[in-house]
Amino acid sequence: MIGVNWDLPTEFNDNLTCVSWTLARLLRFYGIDDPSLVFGTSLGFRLDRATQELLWWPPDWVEPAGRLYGLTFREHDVPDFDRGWERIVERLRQGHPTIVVVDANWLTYSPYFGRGHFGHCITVVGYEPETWEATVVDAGASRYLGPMPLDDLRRAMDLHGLPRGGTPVRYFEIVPPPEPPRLDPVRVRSALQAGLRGLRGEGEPAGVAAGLAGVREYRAALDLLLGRLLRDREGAAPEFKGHHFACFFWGEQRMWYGRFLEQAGRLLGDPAFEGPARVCLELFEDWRLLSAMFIKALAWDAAAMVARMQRRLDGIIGLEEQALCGLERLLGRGAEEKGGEAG
Amino acid sequence: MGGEIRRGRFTLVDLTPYFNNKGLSLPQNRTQANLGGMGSSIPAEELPPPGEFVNCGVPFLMPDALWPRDNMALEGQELPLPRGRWDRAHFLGLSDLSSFKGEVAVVYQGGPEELSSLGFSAFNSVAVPLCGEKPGPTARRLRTHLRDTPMELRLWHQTLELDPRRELLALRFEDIPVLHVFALTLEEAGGDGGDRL
Repeated sequence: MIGVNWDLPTEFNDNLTCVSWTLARLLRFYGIDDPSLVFGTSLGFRLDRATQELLWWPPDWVEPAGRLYGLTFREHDVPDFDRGWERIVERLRQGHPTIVVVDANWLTYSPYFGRGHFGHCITVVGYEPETWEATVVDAGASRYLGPMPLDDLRRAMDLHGLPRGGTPVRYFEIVPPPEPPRLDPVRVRSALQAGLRGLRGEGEPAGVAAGLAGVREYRAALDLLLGRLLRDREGAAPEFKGHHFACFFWGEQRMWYGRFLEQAGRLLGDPAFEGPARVCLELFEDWRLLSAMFIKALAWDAAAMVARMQRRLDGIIGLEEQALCGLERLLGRGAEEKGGEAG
Repeated sequence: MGGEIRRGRFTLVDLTPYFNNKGLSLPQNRTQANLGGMGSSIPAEELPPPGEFVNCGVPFLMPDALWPRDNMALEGQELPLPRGRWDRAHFLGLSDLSSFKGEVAVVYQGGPEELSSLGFSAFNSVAVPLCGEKPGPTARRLRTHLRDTPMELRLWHQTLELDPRRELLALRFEDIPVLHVFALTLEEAGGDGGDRL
């Protein structure tokens, strides 16, 4: 058996996406705790305004988040599985797991098997050459740690079936720091500044300021979209599923913002962070509920769901405005203290 | 409100008129169930059979998976209750997403309403109850329209404390459609909480 000593529990946090949870587990594997700050600087999921599509992989924030802690992610796009697998096994021999991007439709151990093509990521932590079985960790809802026949993995790593496929095989090598870094004050301050700027939305489509503008546009678009659902349920289904994912990720981002603000407030001993943190966490729940409603509208009484979704989105707009005000205040305080900052 | 069943100090409430969702299934009606909107359901043959069963000392009414609807997804309903003074309400329910809590307005005779909280952990998050619930019945497979997949699922037993000095009329739920209630039992005043009078 070739593999790494992966003795982390297969616990599952249903508030996270596969990417977040995979990254959190890898940080733990390399002895790095406290992912809140890392994820607080996660500025990544980008909404393509033209298509209303959420570009969610490869996640932009994996690389900067890892860099903060000295982890390097080397992205590899290779034309065929065998070439990639050779390298993945070599990394296992060196004691390192590898993140692989898969098409969830082909994960035979998973409830998603055969239920549609969507991108997902899992971690390869071992390989048994005698039985041709990989050992994989799926940090998503499957909560799986166990064997996967190599042929199944080969099929799952073929991304041609994904709507945004194009790359045949994609994996991320992980290069850890020489030793687990500590959160020294310069590092913390740097993370706080980047995080606050990102939260506000300076140049980042996922930030609250840009997000708020987006949500207002979204509210207008939602009326049209819901109208379409009432006229043509089948035709509106793909778009509804897209919005379901978009809201899910917007919600997740608000959760990381909230966790980041909580953590920053604790580190600085500053209670001013508590209010915006609370609002962000409330937003997280509201976005997640709206996300669920997109799916339920397809399956349940769409007409009744329409009004409920509009009410919830109105509430979200109010909360986003509150979150932005809170962040503006925090950034104002940061500017006042700028003279004393290092790094 | 009618159709309730009394068992000692407990009253099992008939929720069937309020059921608006199907989350339990048998192999022969799997395609009729759709707990969360994506076609999943809980295999009823792994749960206690339809009718009365006891969980943590509290009797509940398990819905029948052959019914067209077997649970109440919370969407802002007001649920009238058998009139009486009760110590607590016991719910058997779940969240079809992650754990969620919502407000519930407890309506007493003569007002004012009291706001309380009702939450359930996700049905596929069996390890730790995140909303302070007790464990309820479990199943070992997730059923979709196509197949069954090994996965531990759980219904949760949640308790809502009531004011036994006041006559309860109804509960009004928040619009949180990921929360589902399969059964409700009221516990009469004078039980374990009687010393608060």
